[in-house]
Amino acid sequence: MKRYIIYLLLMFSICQSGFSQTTELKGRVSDDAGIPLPGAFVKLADSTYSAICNESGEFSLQAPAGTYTLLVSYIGMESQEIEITLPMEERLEIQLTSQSLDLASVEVVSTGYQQIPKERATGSFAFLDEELVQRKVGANVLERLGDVTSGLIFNQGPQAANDPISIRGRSTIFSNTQPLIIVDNFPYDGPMENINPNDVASITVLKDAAAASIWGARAGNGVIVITTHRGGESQPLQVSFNSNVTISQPRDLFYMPQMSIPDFIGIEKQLFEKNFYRSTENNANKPKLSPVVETLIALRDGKITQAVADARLTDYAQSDIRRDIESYYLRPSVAQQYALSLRGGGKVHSYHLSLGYDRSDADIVVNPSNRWTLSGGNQWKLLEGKLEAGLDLNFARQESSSRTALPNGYAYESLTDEAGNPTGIIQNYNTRYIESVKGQGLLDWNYVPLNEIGKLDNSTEAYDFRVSPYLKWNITPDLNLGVYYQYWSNQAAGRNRNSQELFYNRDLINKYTQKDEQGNLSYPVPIGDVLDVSENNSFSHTFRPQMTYAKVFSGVNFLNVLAGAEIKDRQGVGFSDRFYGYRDDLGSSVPVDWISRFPMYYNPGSQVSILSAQSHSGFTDRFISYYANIGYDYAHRYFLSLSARKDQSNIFGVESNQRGVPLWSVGGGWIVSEEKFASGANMPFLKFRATYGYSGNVDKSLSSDVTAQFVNFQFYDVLPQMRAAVLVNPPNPDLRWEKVQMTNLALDWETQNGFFAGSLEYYSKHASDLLGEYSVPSSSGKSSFTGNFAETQTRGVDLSMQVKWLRNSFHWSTNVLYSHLKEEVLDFEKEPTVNNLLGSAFLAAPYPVVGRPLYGIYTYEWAGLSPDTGNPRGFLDGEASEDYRELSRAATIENLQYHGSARPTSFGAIRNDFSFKGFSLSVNISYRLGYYYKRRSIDYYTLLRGEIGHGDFDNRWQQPGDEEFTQIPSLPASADSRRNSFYSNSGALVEKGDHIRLNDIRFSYSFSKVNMPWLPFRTAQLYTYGNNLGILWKASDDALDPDYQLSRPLRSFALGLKLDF
Amino acid sequence: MKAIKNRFLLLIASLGLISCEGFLDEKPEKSILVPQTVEDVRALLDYYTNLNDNALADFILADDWVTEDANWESLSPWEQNTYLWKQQVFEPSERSTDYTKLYRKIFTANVSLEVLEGLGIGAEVRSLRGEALFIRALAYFQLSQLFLPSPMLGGDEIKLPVKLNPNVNESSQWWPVSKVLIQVEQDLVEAFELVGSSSQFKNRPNKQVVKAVLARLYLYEERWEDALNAANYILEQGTVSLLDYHEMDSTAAYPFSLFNSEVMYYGITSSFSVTASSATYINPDLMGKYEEGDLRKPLFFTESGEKHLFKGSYNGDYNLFTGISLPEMYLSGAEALVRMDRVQDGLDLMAILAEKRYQSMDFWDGNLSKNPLDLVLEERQKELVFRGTRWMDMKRLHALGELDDVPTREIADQNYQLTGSDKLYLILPSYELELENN
Repeated sequence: MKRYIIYLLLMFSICQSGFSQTTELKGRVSDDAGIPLPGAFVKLADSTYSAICNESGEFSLQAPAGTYTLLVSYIGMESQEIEITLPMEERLEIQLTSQSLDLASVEVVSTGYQQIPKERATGSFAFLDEELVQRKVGANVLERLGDVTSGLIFNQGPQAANDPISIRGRSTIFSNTQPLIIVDNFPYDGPMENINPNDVASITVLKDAAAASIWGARAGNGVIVITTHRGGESQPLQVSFNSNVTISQPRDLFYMPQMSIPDFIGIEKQLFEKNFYRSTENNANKPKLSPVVETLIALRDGKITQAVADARLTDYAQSDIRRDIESYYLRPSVAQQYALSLRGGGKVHSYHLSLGYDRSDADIVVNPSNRWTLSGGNQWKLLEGKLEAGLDLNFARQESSSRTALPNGYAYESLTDEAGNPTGIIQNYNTRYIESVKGQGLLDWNYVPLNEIGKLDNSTEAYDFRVSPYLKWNITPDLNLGVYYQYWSNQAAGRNRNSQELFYNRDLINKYTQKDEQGNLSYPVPIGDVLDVSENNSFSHTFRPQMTYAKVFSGVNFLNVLAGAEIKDRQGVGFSDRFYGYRDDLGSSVPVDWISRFPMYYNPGSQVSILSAQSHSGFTDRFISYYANIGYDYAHRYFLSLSARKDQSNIFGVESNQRGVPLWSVGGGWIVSEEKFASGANMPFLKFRATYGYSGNVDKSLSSDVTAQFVNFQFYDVLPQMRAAVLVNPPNPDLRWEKVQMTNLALDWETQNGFFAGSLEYYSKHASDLLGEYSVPSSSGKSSFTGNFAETQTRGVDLSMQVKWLRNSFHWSTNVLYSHLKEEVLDFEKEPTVNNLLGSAFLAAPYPVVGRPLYGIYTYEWAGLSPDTGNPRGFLDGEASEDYRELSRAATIENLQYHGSARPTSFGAIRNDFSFKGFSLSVNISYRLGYYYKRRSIDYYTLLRGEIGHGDFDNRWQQPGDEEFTQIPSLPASADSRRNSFYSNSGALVEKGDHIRLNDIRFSYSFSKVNMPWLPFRTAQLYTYGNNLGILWKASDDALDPDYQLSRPLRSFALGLKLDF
Repeated sequence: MKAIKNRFLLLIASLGLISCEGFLDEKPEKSILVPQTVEDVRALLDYYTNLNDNALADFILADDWVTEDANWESLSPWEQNTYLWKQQVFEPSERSTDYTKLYRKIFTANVSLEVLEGLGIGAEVRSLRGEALFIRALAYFQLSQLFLPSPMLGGDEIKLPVKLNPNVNESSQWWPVSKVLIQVEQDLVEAFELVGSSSQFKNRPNKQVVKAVLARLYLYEERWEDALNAANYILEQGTVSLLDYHEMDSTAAYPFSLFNSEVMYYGITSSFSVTASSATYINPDLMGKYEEGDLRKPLFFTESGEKHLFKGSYNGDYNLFTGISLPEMYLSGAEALVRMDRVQDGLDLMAILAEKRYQSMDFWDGNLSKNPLDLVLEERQKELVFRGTRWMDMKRLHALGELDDVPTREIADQNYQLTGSDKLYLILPSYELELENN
């Protein structure tokens, strides 16, 4: 610790040297559009006096009085020579023009600590400018990265639950999988939904060690840096307004194929005849049975005639609850977005202010949500630029409510009767029981879903607030010290009131109702509403002192040093509570007895206490970090970067020496095209880059001590007053941070006039000390143990290219993104079990096998259907076999069939942009290649236990010969879990996932005052945007989308208008 | 300028100070508890939803019950196999929930013992140590009943993993039943010295509860005199009292209440598909043994067609009570006495219980013509039906050669007999063996 302080002190002491004998020249370099050119090189000819522009494009230079020629240069720009005489009072404003008129605008990537012109960077950055960020329409900012960011993929399917976004694969197994998100220089603590995408000026994705290691122990999964709009210096007031409406299809209940209802009724009849329902029918808990089974019971018991029964069954065969849900509950969802922003600035003060409102109405009727965002900021330059200060305020309010829930019923239940009136469906208890208690004075125990539409009172409301002031002191032209601070707070509250109009409420009261010997009823759960409330409050303080030093030595050596420390404290507390007998109009509730156990009305043998639903939570996240970054640039051709960071955090119980981990990186770059020998070549820009280094990752849920947790009281506990604790973690004194080592090699190029530009990067990520969980014998007291013992490796290539085919009045350019990666587990001490692997296709947790990617598709090898019985078969000693027990016994990790990665090994997108006059068209086509997935199919085991099955049932094997055209086994005589589990884990269900998708299309028309002077605004853009437009090609003939196996990807269309004043 | 600079440096230096004063020592989650104090151990040992939850296999193996084909079909494969008294019951990649549950209890006990080591020798520390020893001993005893043969039949080549400390990384020792039961006895004897003579809640053991388990152990080891002494200890204390079944309401859905006066130690076995199923019938042979005038018949059972379902749980609901109750002590004491040829003493003891169980003593006296040992054993089976002790009794009687009629179960027109596994134990899950060998 002390060592670091001294280290920092040394760094600050560099600023002691004086510059008293010289005069100062100040200026600002920008491109022809007025956009600052950070990193532009300024030099007094025939001298060693030189400077490099800072992130605002400003420079200042100390030199003796006299007359000089000032040389100003910047890669991709025409150099300028200006005659000046020092001393000079006013600030120089220098504008450079592009070498080729069409060179891509200067990309200034942000690491969150500093802005670096991309041309000077050694690391791997993917940069999205404002146009690309604003290309998509929607309320979520992260979604805008999809299929326009090289190396970044949105994972799909069940396995994506824990890691929606992967940057260059996944470098962890059980720890945090998500990239670190930085908003305006600070790690963002709030929910991403609170960022208004209209405020975003650019997004930089940091992919390699040189880019990310400055973020240290949290950067192992990559870093996404979001920069919002700021008012520019000397910029006249700009007002923009953007508004759009997006309409999406409602969910498709018929997407997952379902067996025909008459077939299912047939199965229920069969099961009934075999007395399958007998034990449920007699069960003391009065569990529900389907309408068909109830009809058959009534017929058996002589309660109805054969004719009535037949009529009912015919009715059921023609009903489908999905149709009713579709017509009464679903509609296209509508999202509206409005955003207004103002920004501008003078010499001393600049400002921005923006207001956003988003509203969406979900595809289920009356479930609206909305968001307000307000952000504003001021920057000042005082004392002739010696002191800079700023203050940003951000506020977001998010509200969502659920007034309707989709009902859950048997496949053929109807929500209305013949006359079209709402009718009840079966819920929790069987109809015989509900009928039998009529007239006992209970609340209505029927569930009529249509009567509950709009009756839920369930809402959440969250406020998010950030304030970030800073102060920067430019001690000398080369050296500045800054202090940056951010306070963040978030208050989220939930409220769910279940009124008596809801079955849930009436059921709860009825269940607990007590009847005395005279038949009088009493209500341990009092009559009235049930109100659940929850509240979560969190806040963080981040404080960061930082110094930067930038100086040119001997005219060609440019040194840039950044060093600082960061301390962060993030804390949160939350609770939830429940009130019974609540009256919303009076705001009063009734106390209940949580300790006594009450016999249930429907089954006195079942005694439970009243659920208190109280809980408390709290967390503390603390970091202390030290970081430094040194950039060295020689003659604009050679670049060297070094960075280091040490993080310490409050990982529980780890000895302090293991808490911290030093992470570092080194990188180099060489602009070949700047070399004299290359001056004749037809390549205005060619650059090599290479970096190497480490970043980290951590799982704070583990501990080196044995830990326990108090057990929450459950309503079925017999001793609810008992304070009991359960052991959670076995001790692990060797716990440490995960480490990701990254190597990146890259080539950037651009041909004459920017016709063909791109970059090709090769990387290798080697993650070690990964936390992994493995099974241990139960005799140890635990069934699994987590420690730092796994290792993975990812190697890959990211290619991004742009071709500008036409640049006349008709513009046509093509952007190609291609990423290929190979992920491999190098070491994992304990192998998963065969069942782990077989089941893993539908699970979020990875089951690592050495030599394979983290997510793979494993199956029993498929030997086809038996031609005689239609039974599924596997291979046992090379012979087709139906001995499922043996097949499962004989399976080993080695003899399971490994099909390949469950995640795309190649992916990317091809985007074509066209424009002509005011019209623009942008079409993005994405592709995913080299992976497999497991289809769902008929589950005979659950079918024969009375649950409706998959549509594959209709195409099953029914008679010898069918095996020629179907792989779907025959219906077995009885529920056979082994046969079923063999089939569902067999190779018969594996499909190739490769596909090409028409992602989205944006079409717009822009009006400009330049062409139409009568316009009341500067520019206006009318745009439409279509998303999820469909699959163009796929390798498998599965009817469903490979990436969306459970529900259809919903198509949406948006129409919007953007005005700039 | 210098002054500001100095202040700035001071600020940075203060960052270091904060870290030194525990800034990074705060725990990341409020709910994390590192067990260190007496209260913490108290809470660990009060985790009754695990510690007082008993193995389901004991129930499935017992011949107290039968089921029909359709219901058997709906059981999970290991339950089906266990029902048919197979020896290898677990699927190749399956863990046994019972096995896991029992070792989790042992782990909790071992952790508690370790934490207590550093907490001195106060009264509460001593009694908690006793409780932990008791929990560990009971769990090993139950494991040995399921996974090891009877100690009276030899079979020392069959072993069980044993751990007496909480170190997860240390591999287990493999002990045969003789050695396991020596440890069990040792722990129980020490626990008896340490625990209090009464406990506030019935999920916690006290001296009588420890003695009750010792009585079971001695019966299991055919140490009749020790068993008698242990049972007598409880009977002499007189702090728990017998329920008078004359006063119970047989029309109630569940006539007995939780923690009634006979309950010494809470225990539960619950499984929706097995114990709570409406197709879990009383073995008709056993049903036939309840004679006229036996008050237990209407209190314990309810008719379902021609078959009988159980409603006599001391938990007062459909969960089975498998803890320790007072009548067991009368029965154990009486059995020991009869086996020690103190027949009259044994029958006298039985009569105390019978008075509370038969409509009048005339009905009981009619029984006295039977062989006294048979009478005591039959009463034991009838009294402790669905209480989780039958499997232990079956193993004892089998070792003694007294299990006259070989228990038989029928599924899909096929008969399965208990003798299918001569030494009456389950083979450890092969998955566990695989992990142990790794």
